[in-house]
Amino acid sequence: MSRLPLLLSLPVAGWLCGTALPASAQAVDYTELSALMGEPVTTSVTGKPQRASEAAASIVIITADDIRRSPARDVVGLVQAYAGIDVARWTAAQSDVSIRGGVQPYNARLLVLVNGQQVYQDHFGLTNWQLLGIQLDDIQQIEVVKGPNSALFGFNAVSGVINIITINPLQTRRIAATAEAGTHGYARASASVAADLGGDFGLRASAGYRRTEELHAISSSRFPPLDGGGPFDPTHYEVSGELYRKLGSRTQLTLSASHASARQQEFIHLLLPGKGFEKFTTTGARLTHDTDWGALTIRAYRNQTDIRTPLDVLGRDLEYHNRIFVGSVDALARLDAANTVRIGLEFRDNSLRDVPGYPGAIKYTVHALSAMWDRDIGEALTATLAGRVDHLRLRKTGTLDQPTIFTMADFRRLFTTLSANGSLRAKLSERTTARAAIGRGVQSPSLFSLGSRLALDIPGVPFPLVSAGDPSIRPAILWSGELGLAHDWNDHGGKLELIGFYNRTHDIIGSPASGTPATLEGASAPFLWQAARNVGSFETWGLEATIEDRIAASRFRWSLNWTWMNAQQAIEGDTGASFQWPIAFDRTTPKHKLKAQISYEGGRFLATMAARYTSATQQLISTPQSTLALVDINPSLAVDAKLAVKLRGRLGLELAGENLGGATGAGLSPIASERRLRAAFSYRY
Amino acid sequence: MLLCAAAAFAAPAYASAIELNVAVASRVISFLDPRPTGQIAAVVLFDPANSASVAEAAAIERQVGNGLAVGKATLRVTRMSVRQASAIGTADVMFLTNGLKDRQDELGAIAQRNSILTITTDLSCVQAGHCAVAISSGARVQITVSRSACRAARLKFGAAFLMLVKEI
Repeated sequence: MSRLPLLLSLPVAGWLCGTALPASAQAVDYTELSALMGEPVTTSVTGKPQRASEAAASIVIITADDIRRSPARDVVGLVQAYAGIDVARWTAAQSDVSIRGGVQPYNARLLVLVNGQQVYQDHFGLTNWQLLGIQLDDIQQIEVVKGPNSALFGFNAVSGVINIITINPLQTRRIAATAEAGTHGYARASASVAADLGGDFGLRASAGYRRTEELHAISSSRFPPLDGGGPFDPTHYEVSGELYRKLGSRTQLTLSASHASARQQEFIHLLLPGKGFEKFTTTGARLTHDTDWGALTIRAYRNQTDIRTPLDVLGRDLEYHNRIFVGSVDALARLDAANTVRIGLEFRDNSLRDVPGYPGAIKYTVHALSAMWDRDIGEALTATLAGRVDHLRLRKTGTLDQPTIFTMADFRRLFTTLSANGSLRAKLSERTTARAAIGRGVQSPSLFSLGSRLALDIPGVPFPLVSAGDPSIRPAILWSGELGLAHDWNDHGGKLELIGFYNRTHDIIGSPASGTPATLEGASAPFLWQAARNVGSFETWGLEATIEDRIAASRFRWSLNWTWMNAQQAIEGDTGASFQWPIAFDRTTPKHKLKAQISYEGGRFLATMAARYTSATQQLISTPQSTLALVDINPSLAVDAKLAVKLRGRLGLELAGENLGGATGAGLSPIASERRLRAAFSYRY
Repeated sequence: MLLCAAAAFAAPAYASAIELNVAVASRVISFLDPRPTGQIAAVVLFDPANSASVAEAAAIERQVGNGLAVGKATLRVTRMSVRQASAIGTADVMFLTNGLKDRQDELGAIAQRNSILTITTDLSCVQAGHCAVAISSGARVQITVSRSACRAARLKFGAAFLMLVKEI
């Protein structure tokens, strides 16, 4: 039985009792606090509200105004404009975001959240960016934290965190609707509303639909034939809603729900095109309460993921059903003018049922304790220390189908991990800040890598092949260090930022693919066995430089950033020419990225042009001969543009283009990128 | 390289603007707990003998005009000579202009006695515990809050606000 009703009982009781709950605390009002400080405000680094310029880690905050000016059509398109971030658009609908290296499909190293509630899917360790459940018009700001942050957010905030904050309807009113059409069969419709309903109630609700044609190169002969017939055109829809209730002047309760569905082609973890029919549903509640000493947040949510993917050799669809429940309590307290602490408790219950896998489900529960201490040392120095202990208990329900090498006892396992972050910031002058930070992030083995199982009869092979997870697999650990310097070189938004970083990940988790060696097991009934395992280490180091400014009373804005990154890996079976595991981070990570954007807004017109140069890379693919091979991805100069005109009243027309030069390597995918154009009518109030 | 760059950018501190940033001040008021509603009565105290003080008072009055929205409340200001300060009575907010340094002690006491929020650009007034809030608007907005002055005036701010400002 779901624990949700029980765990939600406290906030829901508060809802029913109206102001009977203690009335003394304000939720973080991003709009007002950002306007007050003259820059975005975030809680995604330490849990404490901080100005972006004073954050304890490298952070990019993409505001609603940045979104309005950008030619991007989705969240991944927005984040790809910034230093240190790679976006791979594998297919027309499937994307992955990588921070500071490690480009791969189904990136498990980046934790993605909406209002602090994960949309990252634990069953495999991935984010399906089509299933966020929200529209661009819903977004207050997107916070991108670079570097590990699992001391705050727990497992999988390894290379970074993206926390998408939506509009609070008690603070911002908005009605927006868009109808868009483009080349390659592109069509999108969306509607969003955020309204104060009166009586201390607020509602944010939205819905969206998208479709487009698949990339034509997905049918290339370099890949094995698609399972489940020929390619189809991806479609997505999503609905979401949040109901806000003020309970007194300092307490706020939010109930949220969203449902999203995607039907899309993907470049799957086996490094070949596949198909996915996916549904993602989330429900949650959070209660924020200001006290005289700080703030208290109670949160509970439940995510349900259902995925179906055809597999011809099996003669049926594979199914994955993942259910996550998270309950947490966080207390943030100002001890005095110089010291702030945060203490958090979290419970997580996570289960996966894969069909046809082992009967029953693979499950774990996690109990976590986290703490943060932020201290001002004199006028110019601030130190932050944060740590988190996660205690994971793995178990298996049902039975173990044969053949396998495991027993039920192998699935009874406990382990404890430690995440940590530390930073020191120095205000060198009113305009200049320096930062040093270190971190230890933990990537949990996914439920798939712990307990999946797939038995296949391969034509021409006398024994069945069993590809499985391994319950003894260890978490991957990332150590990170960075030095940063930020300088405001004028009073109207001119900024320069330089960052040097080093990351090292060990115990990288590999899932079997074509080329992964199988062992012969089972004396009486032999079978071939291959399983997920810890396969080696990966390190990146590099520099990020960003400069931006606003001129002519902010009518013009421009930014330029450059990333130089080196990557090395030591992975089992990687000879440089052949691979046993589907991991080639050192080849897939571009060495140079240069990105520029200029935007003009005046009168009824808004025009933006963005350009991204990415140096040559390679990608691993599974070939029709069932081997792993590298293919070249050409260096690319991708140019995106947008022209928006206000027509009458609140009606607008937007023309936009993506990859205008048709650079085939723009998406970092072995499936060639295409030029795409679109036009939209929008209404905004 | 980063250290060299740090040295290059360690420029002298930027001088605070002398005139009060009314937009920021009005937002500060909105973070009082409980949040103000209805009319917020503010007085702008100035020294008629000090031209800078008179000019700042006029600038504040001009920026507020017929009323400035502060969340769901409206801020209205009245200019008042510092010589009449003892008659301030029922105001909610007191803006202290430049040129009142010699009388900050007395004005702070009046404000605290009447539970009035004092806002100034003069950091020393907050450091001395006479004023509740100081605002400087250089390259970055800096807000300093005196815990003792707020306590004496029986004023509270929201926790998120206090974590973003400098509290002394």
